[in-house]
Amino acid sequence: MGETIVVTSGKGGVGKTTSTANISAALASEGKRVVAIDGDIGLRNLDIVLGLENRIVYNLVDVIKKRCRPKQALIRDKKNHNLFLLPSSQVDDKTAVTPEEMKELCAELRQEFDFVFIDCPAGIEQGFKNAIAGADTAIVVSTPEVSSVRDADRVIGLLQHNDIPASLLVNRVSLEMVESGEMMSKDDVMDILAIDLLGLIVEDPEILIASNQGIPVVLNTNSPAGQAYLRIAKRLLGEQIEIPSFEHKKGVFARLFGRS
Amino acid sequence: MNSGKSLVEIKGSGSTLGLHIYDISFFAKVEKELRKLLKRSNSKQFFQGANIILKTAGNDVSSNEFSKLSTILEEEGNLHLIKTEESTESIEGVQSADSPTSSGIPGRPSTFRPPAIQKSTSLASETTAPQIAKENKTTKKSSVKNDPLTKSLLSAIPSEKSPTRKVKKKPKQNPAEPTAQPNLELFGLRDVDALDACLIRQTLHSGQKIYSKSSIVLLGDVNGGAEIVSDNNIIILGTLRGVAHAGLEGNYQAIVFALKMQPTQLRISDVFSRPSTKDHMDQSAESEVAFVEDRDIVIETCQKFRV
Repeated sequence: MGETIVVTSGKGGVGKTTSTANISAALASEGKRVVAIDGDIGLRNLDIVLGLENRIVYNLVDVIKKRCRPKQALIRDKKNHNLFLLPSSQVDDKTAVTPEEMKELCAELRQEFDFVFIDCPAGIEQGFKNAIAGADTAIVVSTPEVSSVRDADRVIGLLQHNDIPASLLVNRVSLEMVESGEMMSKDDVMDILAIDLLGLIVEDPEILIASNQGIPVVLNTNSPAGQAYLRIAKRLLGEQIEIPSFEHKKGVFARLFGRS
Repeated sequence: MNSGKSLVEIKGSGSTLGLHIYDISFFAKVEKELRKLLKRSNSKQFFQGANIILKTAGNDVSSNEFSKLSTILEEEGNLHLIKTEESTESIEGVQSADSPTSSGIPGRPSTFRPPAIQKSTSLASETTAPQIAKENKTTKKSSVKNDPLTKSLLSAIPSEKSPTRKVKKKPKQNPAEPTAQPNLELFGLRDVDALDACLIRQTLHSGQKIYSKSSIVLLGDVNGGAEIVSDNNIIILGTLRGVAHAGLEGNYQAIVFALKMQPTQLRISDVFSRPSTKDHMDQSAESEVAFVEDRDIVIETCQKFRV
């Protein structure tokens, strides 16, 4: 019996799809059977980030409407055979699926996989409700930026209302800006959101490059963000890994992050 | 106050018209009731410029209040308020020797009124009376009489699980219980604001809203985008980053307290205010209290406020 995790944020463009793709890929490379579901009906992206857009035959809506079996819609990753993608539909919209149907689907997939990831769309309406319906836990992604934190706070409130425990992933952290006081530190963010911190991802141009190529950045050993995603995956598996102090650039940052 | 009996009445006795006000302590309500009363009875035509005497049943009426009432009577009822008189149908009350205006300094009422008979054994100070009057009107089983002070302030009322949380004050005791409330007068306690408060132990996230008729004590933060609303006082044992609205129904004595005061907006009754950007820069390390003074919201550190 696996675990269903929804990756959500409220705000758009903070890194939900990237995080879903990379954490799934990292877990799969650790030997777990993982399926990543693209919950963004009408605006599918997860397939592009994983580089599987040419292999789509059936999609999530087909499965829900029983036009095909789940196995027929799942796409196995090119490199990692433990990783599967259930792509979304590009022609329908979010009214095509109900929360109950999603819950049923997650229950079914949970039987076969160790982890079921749901990439939640931005917002708090039908798309969000569909995505959280079948979830056991949530990862809330936020950037250290005021509007992102506000939206994440809203989402945390909604998750609490639905009894879904959440942990926080702070994405796109710029170490120089935190140092100069221009960007919120992770403690500022934690102060407001007050949930457990899963991990920190630094701003990294490699992510954009990897995305365009359709390869999860987690496979790139030179990318600090990729390595951060790997650590996050290990934490999800129960390993106690400290959030590092990112000393490779300058020693002065150690005191900012050393506490964690 | 019996529920069902109005706050103001116009009665004739002999050759004079009397404006009877049964409880002047909650003045905003009195004004409202008076306007309603005058509108209802087609007063302008009826009274045709008659004289009327204010009968206050032993309560103080400040000159400010007197002139306000006078204005309302003129505008809405075509009545001339000529003087104040002690009503023969008074409730037991003691005139304080140095009775200043009843609006006084917010939060620090200067007249102390011992319990009035209609209000049972509850303490009728400036600011307690309004709540009791309201309670009696709306909830017949008012728990105010029965709660010992400490118990009521620490009582936890579980909030319903909903994104828009409405926490209504619930009576905690069996109304049939005999009134065994300790008389606070014995301890020399004055200026008791509200004998009832609800305790909520959680953080309000963005988009959540809490309303309570009673004062609210919140153990947690109020995040930006969240709202906390009360008819009385708001005490936040945490950081206020959102909107707090105290004294909703016209209680200008209500205060907002927070360990860290960083609100986007503060409201007490109908007075709104927002922090200037400069204030936001130097945050006070101390807890602060916000209250109304001269139609403005003033924020002072807790220490200063107490003195």
